Amino acid sequence: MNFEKNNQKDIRLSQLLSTADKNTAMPDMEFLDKLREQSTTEFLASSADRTKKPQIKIIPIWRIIMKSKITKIASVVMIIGLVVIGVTLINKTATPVYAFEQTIEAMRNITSVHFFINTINGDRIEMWLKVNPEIGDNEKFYIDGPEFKGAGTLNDSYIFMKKTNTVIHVTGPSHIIQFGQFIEEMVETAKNDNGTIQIKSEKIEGIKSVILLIIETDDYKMESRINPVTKLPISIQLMPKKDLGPGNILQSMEDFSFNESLPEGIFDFEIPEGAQVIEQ
Amino acid sequence: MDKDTEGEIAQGLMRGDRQAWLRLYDAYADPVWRSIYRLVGGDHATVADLVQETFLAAARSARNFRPDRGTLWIWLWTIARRRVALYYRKQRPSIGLNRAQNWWTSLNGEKFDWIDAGADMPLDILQSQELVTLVRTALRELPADYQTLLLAKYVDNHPVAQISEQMNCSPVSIRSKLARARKAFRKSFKKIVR
Repeated sequence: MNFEKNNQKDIRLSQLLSTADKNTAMPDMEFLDKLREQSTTEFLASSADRTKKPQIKIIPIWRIIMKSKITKIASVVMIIGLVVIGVTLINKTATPVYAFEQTIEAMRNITSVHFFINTINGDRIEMWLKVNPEIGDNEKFYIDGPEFKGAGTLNDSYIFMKKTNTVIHVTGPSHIIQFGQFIEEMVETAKNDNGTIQIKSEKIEGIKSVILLIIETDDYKMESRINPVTKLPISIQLMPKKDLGPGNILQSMEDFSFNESLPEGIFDFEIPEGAQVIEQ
Repeated sequence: MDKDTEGEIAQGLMRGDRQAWLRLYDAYADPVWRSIYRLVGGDHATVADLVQETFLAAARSARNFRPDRGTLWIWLWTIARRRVALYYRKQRPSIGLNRAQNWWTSLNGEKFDWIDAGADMPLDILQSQELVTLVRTALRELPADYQTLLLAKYVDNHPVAQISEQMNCSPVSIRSKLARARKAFRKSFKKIVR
């Protein structure tokens, strides 16, 4: 009886799920043939890159950063998207009280982020980001540190180098900040690098207890403190174990605040008088 | 794909061997296309984009493939599923989904019995485009291995023995996972139509 009943249930479920097959088209063989060549080229290029630099496993975010035209500054800008969102999603597998979906949802509603970056050089850099909650991209950024100051959009950035009195103007995509993709990158990074992920609870002043998330691979250790109520980060600290390559100046990010009113004109950039503009 | 072939391809990928990549591509390009189509629907250009993104991402990370973490298919399909999820995350709320949800609300009958497979679903409902939208949406919410299992068992009608070989698991483990996958699908569906 049970067998028959289960069989009937299977048939019904099969009927239901098979609706997903409705109106599906046969594979486009011409397209797949072209993709065969394209993906093979990509595979071989990726393999060749690895053989050139066997000693350092550059994690994907850093690889993207290093492709950037304004390497050092862009690296700072980019890491935000990575850490702010990427860090939180690991919780999916780690603790039921800090589910990944909650964090994604929280981040979707963010319209602005303000925080400070500490670099390995001892500098403290202020950053503002305007976020488009529709798609999770940073639409605009503002950055101000002892050596440089800049503002821009994803396709048009100005960075004023204070010591040399030069402005680097970057048109075209100089850095990619898509929260969703950074999530992907973080997960893939953790998996590919055979990293360990730990979730702990830690008491800190002013907040009863915070979630302490530790991601550790052979190359780096990253500790993030997450507000258990808002599910948003409080601080993030990066501890490289190896030289991760040029441009990686991030040491920690702290004093996060979300959805603050943006200071008027914060993203407008005026070229200082007498500064030399370098187009890139 | 049998274990030996899978092992050979995996070793080749880790070495950066061109032939290994081509064997992987030739084995899975078609299934990836079809499976993405099942989740996304009839938009040919979108499917092509997602297939392309999947294989390019796979090509970039193929040398990191770890056989101890699952089969080649599960690895590849996990990448594809992420691309599909990312695509939908960037979209505005779907008008089609809203319409399908309203349609479901307007239906009479033992609706949750239909989803729990406790009663037959009327044919006209089974053939409706709104149901297709709801089923695809519910499937997209599931983890990659659940999607693979449900599609293999209930759409492609593969026997458990074959699935267990494909997924490098025992039949007992597959049955157990299938039970969890069915439960997850029903939960996902009910959440969408609630």
